[in-house]
Amino acid sequence: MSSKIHLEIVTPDKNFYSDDVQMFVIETTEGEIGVLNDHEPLVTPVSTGHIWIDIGDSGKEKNASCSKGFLTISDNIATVVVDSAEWQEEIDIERAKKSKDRAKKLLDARTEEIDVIRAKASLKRAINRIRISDLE
Amino acid sequence: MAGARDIKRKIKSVSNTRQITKAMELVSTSKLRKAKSKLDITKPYFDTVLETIKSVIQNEKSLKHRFLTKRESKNTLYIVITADRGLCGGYNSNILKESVKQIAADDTNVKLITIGKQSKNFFKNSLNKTIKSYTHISESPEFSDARQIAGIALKMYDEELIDEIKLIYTRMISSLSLVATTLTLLPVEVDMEKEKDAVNDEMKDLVSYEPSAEEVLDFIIPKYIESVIYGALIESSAAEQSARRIAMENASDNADEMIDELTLTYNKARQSAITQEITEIVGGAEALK
Repeated sequence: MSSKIHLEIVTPDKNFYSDDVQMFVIETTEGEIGVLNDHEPLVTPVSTGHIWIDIGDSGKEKNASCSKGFLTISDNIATVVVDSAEWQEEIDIERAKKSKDRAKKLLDARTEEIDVIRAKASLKRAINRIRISDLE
Repeated sequence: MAGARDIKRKIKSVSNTRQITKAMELVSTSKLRKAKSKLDITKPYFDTVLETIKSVIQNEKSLKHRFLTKRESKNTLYIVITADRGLCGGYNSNILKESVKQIAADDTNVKLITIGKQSKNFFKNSLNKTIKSYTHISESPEFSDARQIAGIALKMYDEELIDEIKLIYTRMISSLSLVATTLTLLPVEVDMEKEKDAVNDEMKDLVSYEPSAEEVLDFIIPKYIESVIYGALIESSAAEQSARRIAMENASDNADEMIDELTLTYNKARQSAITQEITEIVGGAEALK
């Protein structure tokens, strides 16, 4: 038995990641969880946040941002299904900053209720992207 | 027999039309390729969502959830996906026929969300039924479109304005076989596969849900609806291109055939005109002798 767990991250536009990893940490609605191999079967929602992946052997670590979705673990396979995901180095900071400003403006204006919910979600995504791109 | 000049004009007009149909065929061939690759990309996402929801529901059969329990059906929402444009064979009319059939068989109060200009125009006269129309998204659908549509549908379901949600779209079984299909989105109908062996069942019972199974379902079912709508949009867009390609291919073939026939008639007409002229000259010369 390997001491690794297979991690798959899928988004509607692509298969974002698929490989065996030593460990990964993901933000669920209940807080951050770290997953190692032989994790118990689990289904849980994932909130907009951060995925940290430790690949193992080479000692390489990867950081990615993701938006809402869910995580399932069974038979040592972890599947993360999210609306979108980006590697730390792929994040377009300018775009994130712009959408942060836009969302803030929308929230200040406060028109219809549905707009508020969407603007809040968009603001959260933008802030999250900016935060992750700043990580060491 | 029509004069040679008339036939020539006809040939020209047919070959002009052929040029257009050929161009449209090529355009939809390349669009089809794009749509198909998009379909391939979304497939794993879609399958994963479907699998997860299936296993959750199978494991928690006792679970009562508002998205799973059937209510007495008074209002049904139909989401109809067609193209914006015509000239694609029976693609639009098959979908519209299917939706008319479904709606006629439905004795509840029908509400509609239409996607594509064709269905918008078709249901124009029953405007009070149409809640919302989306146009210009059916050719290259985005996930955010699906999210928006799902959002509206789920909100209405939560407010009990509708008790059932059905989706009418075109399934692409192969590029030649396109089938208009109706799918019930809510309440979720997961066709329970054959009971798995006891050992497997026991294993699966150990799955833990955080924070709770209900809350996981609360979260996953809207995701499922979104991804089914997205998948249907993508599949329909590929089907549309495929239907158009076939229609245009047939049109080009027909034009070729017509041109061949007309050319033959033209040559015959020309030949008989020459023969007649010669006969006249010979006849004239003969008379002078």
